Amino acid sequence: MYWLSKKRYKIGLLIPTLLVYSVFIVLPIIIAVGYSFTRYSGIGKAKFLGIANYVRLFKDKLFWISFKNTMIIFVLAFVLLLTLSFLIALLLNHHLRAVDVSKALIFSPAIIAPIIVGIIWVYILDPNIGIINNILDALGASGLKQKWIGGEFWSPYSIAIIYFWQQLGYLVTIFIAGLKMIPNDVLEAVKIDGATGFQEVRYVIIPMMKSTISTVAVLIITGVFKIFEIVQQTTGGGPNHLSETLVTYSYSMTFTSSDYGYGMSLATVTFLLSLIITGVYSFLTREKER
Amino acid sequence: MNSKRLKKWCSVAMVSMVVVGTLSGCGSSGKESSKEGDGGEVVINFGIHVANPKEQESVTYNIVQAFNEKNAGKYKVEFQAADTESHSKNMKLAASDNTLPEIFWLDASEAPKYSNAGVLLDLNDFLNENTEIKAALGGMESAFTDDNGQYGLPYQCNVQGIFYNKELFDKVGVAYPTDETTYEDMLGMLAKFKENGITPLSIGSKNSGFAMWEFNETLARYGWEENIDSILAGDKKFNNEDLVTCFEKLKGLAEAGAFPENMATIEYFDAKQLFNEGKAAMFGTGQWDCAEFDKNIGEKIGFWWGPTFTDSDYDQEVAMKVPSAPIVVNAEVAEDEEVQEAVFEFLKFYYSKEAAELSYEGSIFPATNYEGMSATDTQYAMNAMLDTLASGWDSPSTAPDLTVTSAVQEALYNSLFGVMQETYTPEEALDLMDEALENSK
Amino acid sequence: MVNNKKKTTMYIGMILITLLVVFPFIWMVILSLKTNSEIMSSPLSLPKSLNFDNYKNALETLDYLRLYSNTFFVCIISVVVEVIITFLSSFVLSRMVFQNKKIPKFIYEFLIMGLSISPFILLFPVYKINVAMGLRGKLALIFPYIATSISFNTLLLVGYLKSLPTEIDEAAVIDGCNIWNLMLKVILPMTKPVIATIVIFNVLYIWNEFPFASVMLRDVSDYTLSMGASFFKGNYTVDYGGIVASSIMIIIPELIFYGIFQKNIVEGMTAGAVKG
Repeated sequence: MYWLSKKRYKIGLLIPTLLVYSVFIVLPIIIAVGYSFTRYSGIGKAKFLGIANYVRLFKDKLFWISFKNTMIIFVLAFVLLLTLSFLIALLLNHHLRAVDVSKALIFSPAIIAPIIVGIIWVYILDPNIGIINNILDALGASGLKQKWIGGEFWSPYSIAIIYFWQQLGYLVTIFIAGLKMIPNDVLEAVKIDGATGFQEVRYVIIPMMKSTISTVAVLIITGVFKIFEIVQQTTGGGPNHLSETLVTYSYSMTFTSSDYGYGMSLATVTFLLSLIITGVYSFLTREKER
Repeated sequence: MNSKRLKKWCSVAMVSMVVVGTLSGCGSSGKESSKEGDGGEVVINFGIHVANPKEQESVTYNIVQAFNEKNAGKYKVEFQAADTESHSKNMKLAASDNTLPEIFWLDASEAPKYSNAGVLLDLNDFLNENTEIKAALGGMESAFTDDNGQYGLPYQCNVQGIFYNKELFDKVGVAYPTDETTYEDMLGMLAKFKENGITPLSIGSKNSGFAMWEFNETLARYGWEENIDSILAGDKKFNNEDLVTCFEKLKGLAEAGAFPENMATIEYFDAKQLFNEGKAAMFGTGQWDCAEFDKNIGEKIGFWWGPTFTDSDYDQEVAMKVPSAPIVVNAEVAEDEEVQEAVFEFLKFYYSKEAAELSYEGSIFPATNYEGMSATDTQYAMNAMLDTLASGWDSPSTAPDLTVTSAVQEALYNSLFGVMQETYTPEEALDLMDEALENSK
Repeated sequence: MVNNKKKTTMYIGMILITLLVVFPFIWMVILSLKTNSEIMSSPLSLPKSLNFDNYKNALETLDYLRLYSNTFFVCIISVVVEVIITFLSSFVLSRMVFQNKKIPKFIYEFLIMGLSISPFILLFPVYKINVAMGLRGKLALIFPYIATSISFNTLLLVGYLKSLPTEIDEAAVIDGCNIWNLMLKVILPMTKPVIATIVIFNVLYIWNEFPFASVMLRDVSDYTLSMGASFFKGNYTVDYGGIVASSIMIIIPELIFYGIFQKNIVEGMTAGAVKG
């Protein structure tokens, strides 16, 4: 291979990707970060403000509320998705009848446009017209009714559940793929040694799936920091921005309040957070592998 | 091997040619608005804030159709349509690269920024040439003037207040509200509706901060118009005695259970649906919903400005017939005489008596006032409005929520709904507005 | 016997999970058959009669032929280009020898970073870049779509290509392959499953993409499918039945497409993502 790795090949083959990526991802980010140091309404000239937007951000109560909500969603979605999608993958990896149909159906939410995912769930979670509270009523358990969305408490948890629903099949598929990579003879050998199902999973499967697990983890982390349509459709960030996530809050500042500069400073912080958490995660897991 | 390779290269070449061909072919069709139409007429674009004007802004659609028919072969107006949110983004982007349509709708809180950026045409010349239109507008155009001149003209005229369902009032035995009905009377009304399991006043806050029209009247009756200039100038705070009293009234409504329980998860459209279905007794909105009410509620509809406040020092005899958002003209239009002529011809038609008639037919109040305009007997909702307007009270020159720029406007909406949903105390809510004003300076 | 019991539990688990996941879907189909006022006023009830008005209305309002052909146009060009360029770059990053090992790792991480970006940060700047390059309408969508797919494609492709044994290359080179033959005739055929996966995800992404489409497309004649739902929401009116019905009509081709390629997804994932 070494003698084919000529410099001009490397450069030639990398250039198209790097060029498109630099012009349409990196350059826009730089421009957006640039605007985060200005006051700009989207029209006319931007006015340089220095770090004023960032100072404002740290004093902004709503920023901290959206931060808190995003972290709730992150922790809940991370734990639920990572464990349950792994367990479901273990289940569906058995030779059961109609298991392919089940896999396909579980994957299906991932193909619906996120906007529609939001609309569907409004009809399930809405405190008045949603199916959950109506069923609780019909069962005579009205006491259990909650403002699943649109209240002050439950919204981020509900968003996490919706996100879970949307991503489950996608991640299950990745885990099943990982399970298929484990050579059968390894598992056979374990069986002969008389390991219980739990031991098999704990000491054989999980260690062998480390790289799959970290792919899934990275997809969950970066995904959570992009959740937008689900929130927009279910609560619109309300009541009074209390269920806002970092992305939706930054959207509302940018486009609804036409405060493009401040919106971009929020977006920059969100982007950095996502990068940092992904970085910390890879750092932690890398240490363990050694 | 060689012929195989040749074949492969040929097919690659073919594919790339097809791709390039389609790319360039579509490139030319997707290009900027061509000024010449198929029949040699001058084509002007009208950027509008709904994706489907035929259904969603039918009056404007009809006026444009009538204009196009009348001027076939000479001028043609084409819509550039997108939903409100996309439209607002699109216009900003278009302003940055000079691709604004010739005429377009703008949110009133955003238009001054466009004017400052110098992308809008001063329409003073147009008004001075067409004095009959100026007279018909009757001063309504003054809402859209600044140092750069007449940057826009009112798109329509909004009449905002509370519609009520007479049938439900009869059912619970409450008298219909009148010009004299006070806030205390209203609280009594609410209690009756609550007892009977009817939502008193339907409203939704999800993505619908703008849907606070009935409270423009409330703000006006606590001296908004009198004080806003000194507040914006920094001489006074939003958190002042008058507005605190005003916001306390909203709090009172919330405590009396005036609003739907799920107001946080329903949008304005859903709230309207509750009213249409006869599940809510009152709904605050404007004339744009008339046609829908005629269909759903019919002759049982009534219209009311909202309660008067005995503890307010300000004039209570306030109507709310105000200019809606402006339509504006791209400054570049002046560079091409033919286009300018077409645009002015269209504006002339848009503000003509003929267009006003089309407007009344669709239960929309045009920005113009011509003699002898009236609604037909079956336009119940519009007639209800006309009855209320008959008292002849003065309106503020601009609706309160349109007197401030977008960031403060957003804060106002957030504060109103925050008090109504009891997430903020009146003082907290007003502080947020002061903060937003401070941040936007 | 124990085994049988275990199997039964597994079946119950599988059916339960599947039902839970699919339920919201079914709910949506039911909603699409209700009238607007039924949706709002009696959310729990089944539709009174099978009401296909929403579909009729959606068909009348939207020019599906045009929406589909625009979507196909953008989709085909973007997907073809992004698969080719990311295949080439991933090949370099995963299989070529670098003296300084940090370089490919750095480029890889640089490309993966894009996963963290929510598209609307990019909207305004990308629009301006498109304008500067003279790209408008449908064409303005192609580069952003390609660019936003690079991270995901690189994640999968590099992971997969690294998992192929290096002996393959050496054997090929000894047989006298040049770099093109090695890539296109030896490696590419082995990468088919993961490419299928990438194609599916890229197609689904473009099919559902709204933020870029809503900003880049001005002319109704350029609209793609994801813009369809916006036709049912006006400033003062909304037609939920229309939104749901039009959504379902957007989903149907996706379901068919997914059904056809479903096997490949699992295979591709088996092959690709695992090595991360």
